[in-house]
Amino acid sequence: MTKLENFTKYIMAILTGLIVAALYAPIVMTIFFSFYKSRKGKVNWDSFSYEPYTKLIFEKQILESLLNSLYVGGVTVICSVIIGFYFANYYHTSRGKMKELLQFIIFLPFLLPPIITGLSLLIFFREINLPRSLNTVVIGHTIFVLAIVFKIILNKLETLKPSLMESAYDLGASKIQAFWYVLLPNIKLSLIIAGLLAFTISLDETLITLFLIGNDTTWPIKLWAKMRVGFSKQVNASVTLILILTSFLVLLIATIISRSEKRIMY
Amino acid sequence: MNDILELKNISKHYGKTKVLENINIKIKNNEFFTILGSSGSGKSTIIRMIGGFAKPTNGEIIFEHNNINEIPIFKRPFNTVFQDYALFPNMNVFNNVGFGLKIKNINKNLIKDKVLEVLSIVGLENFSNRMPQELSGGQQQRVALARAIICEPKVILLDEPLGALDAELRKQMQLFLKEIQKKIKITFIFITHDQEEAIFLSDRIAVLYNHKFEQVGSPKELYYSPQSTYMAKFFGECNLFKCQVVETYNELVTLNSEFGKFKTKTNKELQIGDEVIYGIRPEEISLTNNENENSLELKVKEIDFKGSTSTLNLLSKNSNTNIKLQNISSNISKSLSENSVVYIKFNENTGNIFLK
Repeated sequence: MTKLENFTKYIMAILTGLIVAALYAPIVMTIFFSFYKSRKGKVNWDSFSYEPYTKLIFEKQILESLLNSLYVGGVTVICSVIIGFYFANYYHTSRGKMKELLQFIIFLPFLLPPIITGLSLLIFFREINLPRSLNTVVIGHTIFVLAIVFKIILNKLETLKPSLMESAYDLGASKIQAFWYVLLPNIKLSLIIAGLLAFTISLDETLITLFLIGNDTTWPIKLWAKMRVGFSKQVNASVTLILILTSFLVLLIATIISRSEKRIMY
Repeated sequence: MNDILELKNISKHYGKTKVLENINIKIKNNEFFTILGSSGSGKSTIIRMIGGFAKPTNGEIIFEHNNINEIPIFKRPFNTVFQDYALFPNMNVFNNVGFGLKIKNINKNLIKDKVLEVLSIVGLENFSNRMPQELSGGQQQRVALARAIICEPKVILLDEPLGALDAELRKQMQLFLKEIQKKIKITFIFITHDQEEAIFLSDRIAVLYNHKFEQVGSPKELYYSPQSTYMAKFFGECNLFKCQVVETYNELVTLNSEFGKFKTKTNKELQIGDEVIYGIRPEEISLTNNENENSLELKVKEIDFKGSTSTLNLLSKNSNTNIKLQNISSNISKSLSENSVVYIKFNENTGNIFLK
């Protein structure tokens, strides 16, 4: 290896390190400052404390909003993955012209500014006398994330050979058996990815939520409201907890997938 | 052998596109039946209709004297070996092969015994824990076949199963398929576009052309008794030339061609003056030493030396139409040169007459 090649290799390594550091520094800082205090840019190294975490347990509003967000995110994942799979499967197997219209309708709420989607849903719910609640938020989020979920599942379905399901039927499987033993195991990864993405988007969503939430509150809206009146350590602590929870979920799912691929049916 | 499956007046249209028109065929029990046709001729559509993946626009599919048009795929006693194998990527070889039994809720121990038995038939008893993606094309093909065999179907449908294999493996698999069909005694309906493959494997072949079956018969029947000029050219080479009937006597006719007059046998009813096409394979023509009653005089255009035998291209005396002779002993052809005059003779029992 020449000197120039060596030099380039080190420069590339440093650059990559800097980019990774820039990407993850804010997250690390958030975790760090949930344990330490700082004043005028200087860290007080003697200030290490779990207090923000213990206080968080007593900060009922943040905890409640977090639970609300988890509820909304969870139900949104279930609804959007079921509906998204159904539509994607219809789109994939149908030969009719209606499927293009269906795709357009699914994508519209995602492409429109969220304020339009939120406002339209608000008017619609008022017209049908449906009071605003966490459930109306779930409906809004499901409609919003459906495009992403639909596209991820559809992409996976399109990579599968049509003969795969045909051979299942050919070997005597009913539609349910073919779905359970053949289709589902082959698309489960895309369902998990779509669900995770739907959960992340739902957890993050504020604009549509603001229109549809009513008297409850979700976690990002609560954080936003709290930050307007000053930054508290509990915000950092709750962000850290969410980070740990989602990282744990991702690791868990990755482990399940890698194990299930080696699993033998009998 | 009894008929097991019958296609009766089957037509298939996709919108205005006609794929198959008035298909009629009876397939016998335990035979290796091949549907042969070029790409896009509709041969896969026939197998898909038999398997239940597509419905005929018109006509009936009759299995053991019952119309099965409305029977769903999973209730038909047929299994398919797909061109792309269609093995389940989420299951290992054992589970792929056992799938058909598992969904019928058969006892696990029985499934295990049966899977191992079928895997040993296809020579993959040591591969049961492998995933499909860890197998070669030929091995995947054997798993697909084992998966079909284990269900003990009445008919196995093979949709160009050797299409994706290289030439060497293809030959091995042809031999394997032929042997296994004899061993398990199940009707095979095989699809291919390869004439040699069809001749090698089949008890009977149906040639699909222009949306319908051009001819159905054993490989020998199709080769030696083609019913149309298309069929004559489809398998191997054939000399085809225009003739006029000049004399008929029982089943013997005398034909006049640009090469001269000759006698041949036919079972067709011909009248004097009829315009016909006569077809004869290059290897069915022999050289004769001198002019006689049924010989034709021609001149040599080209000699293609192939070692012990040669191929001759001969020209008629008065025109540029040529006729080909094959498997002529090089001992004879070495005495010939370009423009030499030779006499050829058609055996009365060979060759075919096609009506125009």
